[in-house]
Amino acid sequence: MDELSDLPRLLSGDKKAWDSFVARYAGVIYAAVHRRLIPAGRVEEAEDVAQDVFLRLCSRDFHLLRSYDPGKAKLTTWLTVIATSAAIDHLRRQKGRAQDLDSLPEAALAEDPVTPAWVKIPPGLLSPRQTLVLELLYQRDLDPAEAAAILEVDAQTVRSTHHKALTKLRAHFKEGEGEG
Amino acid sequence: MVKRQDGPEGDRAIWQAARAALRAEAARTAPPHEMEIAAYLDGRLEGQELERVEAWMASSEAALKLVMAARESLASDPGRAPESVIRSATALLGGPAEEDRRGWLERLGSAVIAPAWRPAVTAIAAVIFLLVCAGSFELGRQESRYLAQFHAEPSDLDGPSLGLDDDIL
Repeated sequence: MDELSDLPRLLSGDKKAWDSFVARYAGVIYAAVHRRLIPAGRVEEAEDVAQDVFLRLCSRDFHLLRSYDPGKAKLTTWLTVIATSAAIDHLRRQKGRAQDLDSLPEAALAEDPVTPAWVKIPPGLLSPRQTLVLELLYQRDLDPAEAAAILEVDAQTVRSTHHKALTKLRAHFKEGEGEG
Repeated sequence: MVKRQDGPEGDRAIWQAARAALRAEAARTAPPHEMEIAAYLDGRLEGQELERVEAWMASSEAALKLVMAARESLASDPGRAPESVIRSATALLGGPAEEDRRGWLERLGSAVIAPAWRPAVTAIAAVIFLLVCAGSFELGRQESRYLAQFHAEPSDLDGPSLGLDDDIL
């Protein structure tokens, strides 16, 4: 059966359509939440978080569910993103502000106010993908094949992106040394 | 200053020197919403939309975690949720189903008449309705003619009644 065939009835508030939606996607939502809570050792909270996801989906006259665009992604993928995001938010709230660096604004973490001028990188020097590849390979210590799986490209593309990124950075730093 | 080193350690040192600035630049991009992230995971983004999501992933540890975890979830069989999750979620929406909101006559009709016969039955019902309307109209017309006659009698005597009255008088 088409995963979207019941969507119009569901959005009109039909109880049967909601029940079949829940029966069909509860597994997807629960699994995504559960998977994210395992490393934090908070699996027992998975049911509450899954329930929050369903509440978000149906509250305010299905406001969130109405934002789903079938032309952009599969419903299963979108629900997985919503559920994973809800689990991450839940963990963040639980951790509290004091110890959790993730809860700080990313921009505040990213920019070092005492960064020397020569380390500043001109906008557009690296593409977002080049920056991401370096992050995956060095910060997360993934090998090219693992990084390729996340980006859904082949490992050779990752190697070549990495090489181009480092070439640009080396050239930039060399230029900086020359000026200094 | 970036120490000159060769090989992988040199590459890592270059990246470490540049990381803060690279992340700061990536963080200037507005974070994508959930629909865009889902589209990215389905491989349906390109151009600026794709760059926006990848910049967000490069700028934020949490963003990268979200995409990686979602990808892992999508790659595995979700299995079945506990019954308690399904029960509580279905209870979130009260009210009757669309089918239950229909009138009793409609429900009786759909229960008694086979779906294949429903158009024919509707057509026959419409013809019967028209015949009844036409019959009622004809009946009403005849009755009004009769009533007109009935009411006409005294008025027809209006003229001569004067004479009768005269006689009585």
